[in-house]
Amino acid sequence: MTKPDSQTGEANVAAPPVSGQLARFARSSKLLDWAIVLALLAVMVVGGIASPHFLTVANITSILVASSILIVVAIGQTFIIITAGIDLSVGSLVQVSSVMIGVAVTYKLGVPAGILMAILMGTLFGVLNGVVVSKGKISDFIATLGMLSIASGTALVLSNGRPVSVISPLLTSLASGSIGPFPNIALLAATVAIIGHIVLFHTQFGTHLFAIGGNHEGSRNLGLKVGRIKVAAFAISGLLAGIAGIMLTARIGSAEPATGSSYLLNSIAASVLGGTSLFGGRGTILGPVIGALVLMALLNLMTLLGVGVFYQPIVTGSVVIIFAIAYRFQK
Amino acid sequence: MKIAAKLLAGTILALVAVAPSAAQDLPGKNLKIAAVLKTLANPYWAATQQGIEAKAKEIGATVTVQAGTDESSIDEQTNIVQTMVGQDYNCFIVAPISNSNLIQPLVTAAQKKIPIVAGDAFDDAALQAANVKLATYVTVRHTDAGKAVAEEMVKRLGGTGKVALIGGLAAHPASIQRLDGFRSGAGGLEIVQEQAADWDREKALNAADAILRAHPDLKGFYVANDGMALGVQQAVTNAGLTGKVLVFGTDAIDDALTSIEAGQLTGTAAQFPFLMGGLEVEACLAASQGATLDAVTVAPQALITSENVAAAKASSPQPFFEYESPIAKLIK
Repeated sequence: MTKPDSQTGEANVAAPPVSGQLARFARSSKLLDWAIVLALLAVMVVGGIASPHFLTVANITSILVASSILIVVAIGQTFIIITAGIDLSVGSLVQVSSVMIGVAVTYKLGVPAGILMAILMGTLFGVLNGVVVSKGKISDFIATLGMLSIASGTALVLSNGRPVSVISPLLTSLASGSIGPFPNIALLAATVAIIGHIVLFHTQFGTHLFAIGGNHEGSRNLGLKVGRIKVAAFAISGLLAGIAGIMLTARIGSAEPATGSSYLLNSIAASVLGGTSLFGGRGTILGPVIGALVLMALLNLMTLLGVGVFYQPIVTGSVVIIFAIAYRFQK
Repeated sequence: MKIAAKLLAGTILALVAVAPSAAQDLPGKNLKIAAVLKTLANPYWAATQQGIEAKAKEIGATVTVQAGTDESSIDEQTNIVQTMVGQDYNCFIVAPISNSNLIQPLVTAAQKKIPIVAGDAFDDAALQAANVKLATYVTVRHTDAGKAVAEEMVKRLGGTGKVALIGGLAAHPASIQRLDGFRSGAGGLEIVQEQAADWDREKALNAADAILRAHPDLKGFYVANDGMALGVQQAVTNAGLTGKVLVFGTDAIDDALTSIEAGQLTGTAAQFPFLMGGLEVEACLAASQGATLDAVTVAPQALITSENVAAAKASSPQPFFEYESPIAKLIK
């Protein structure tokens, strides 16, 4: 999504010459910049017609709550994708962070200590990702794929494979409390989104991220410390996965060693739906936030309509692919 | 984008299910049940779904059954319940994947005094903390299943011999209770090894293979579910010990019954998920009429071996014996 304030890298892959009216129309207009917003509106309209429950306040609140965790993970993922990277370890980092709260409960350290441990664990793994990528000079794909396995193994070792019930007033208020009509968990996600937007568009660090993603070698020649910036980006992704781990624990009421895997695919999907270019150098925060809302609104609608859960991944996957193809026509 | 929107709309409209119309003058005609099970990829929960739908049709209730994609779709299941709580259902049947993941979204239902019937274990402390009360929990006594198998093994082995136990996930309550039940009825049998195979057929096969090598004089296995039991049976067959080493499973899934008929698996401790689904719907009806149910509704089970497997298959998915529902008499 090329919003007025977004920055476009030099090395964006130019859309190949396409014949056909649709392609020309799409390229000449700014339609694609708003594609994800239109998609959200389309889902709302279709949903409103198909189910009388879809556009109720209670259901919209449900969608916001269900999207919150994904939004936080997707923002972290977007920080990496903007640098032309990918973080395949996010789901496992959510998992291992959640388990840290369980560990804190098991060893009677208290839930607040567990929350701190979860954040530290996520960030630590993120830094590790960044160091492996920048010092080890291997692709993000392999580095984070390895870390996916290491983090999920660590979660199993630390938890001994067992879920731990977490009963804490603090987490309960995060999961089910609200300020006015807004659920706390959604407000937390919104806060993360606002901070993410500021970091990306109003700091030098943000500018550097776009520069690295747009033109890796060029950035290095300009004297940017590419390695350090990558480590910082992965640290952010890890930190946000840690926060997501806390949100997940609050929501399901226990620290589970075997959950969180869905956030890997869905965070990339939300980011791509939101117009983040997988080739780097282009992206926003608002885009992935709306991307996540579209994904969860679709799942919500299918649940309301009684569409079997086995069909849901097919629809999700199709929507992502359709969008990825559509964005090829973007200027 | 336009194409995308059209495709999207088309896909969704094409997938819209036609709602069944409620029958007239049946006791459950005002009942609108939401059932959220673990995953329909597991035959056990698929049978539960059939039982729920059959009983709902019988009493004239409408029911929507949803479930997670697989046994680890914990947060997905939470979202499903959250979505359904916002609708106008007046009873919930829930089988949580973890023992706490559905409590938070059910708080709203509990506040509205909508009956909640459990089809799998909840964490009692977490329920109390959230102030959620269950109408009843429909379950079998897992210890009874293990005990029945142990007694049958004692009989077949003449009271002595080495046996091994294969459990599911290490901390899974059903697995623990089944194996505990076995120990309580094992008498003079010597339990030489106990292994957790995570409900995974291949892991169970590998574990059984290793155990058979370590204990060549082993006489039998008790396995906490049928999927794993079939893996164990495979290891026994591979070792050429079919019939010499007894293998008992739990659940009575179709593949297990077929294996028993073929003279492979020795037996299985049957539960009747189809019947349990029916009990859950009856519990909804009774609770919505204001009846007070027992905290736990105990469902029947039975041991199936080569002697009664034909009868069991013939009457499937119903039990092959007479069973009187303890809830039916509470319904007006």
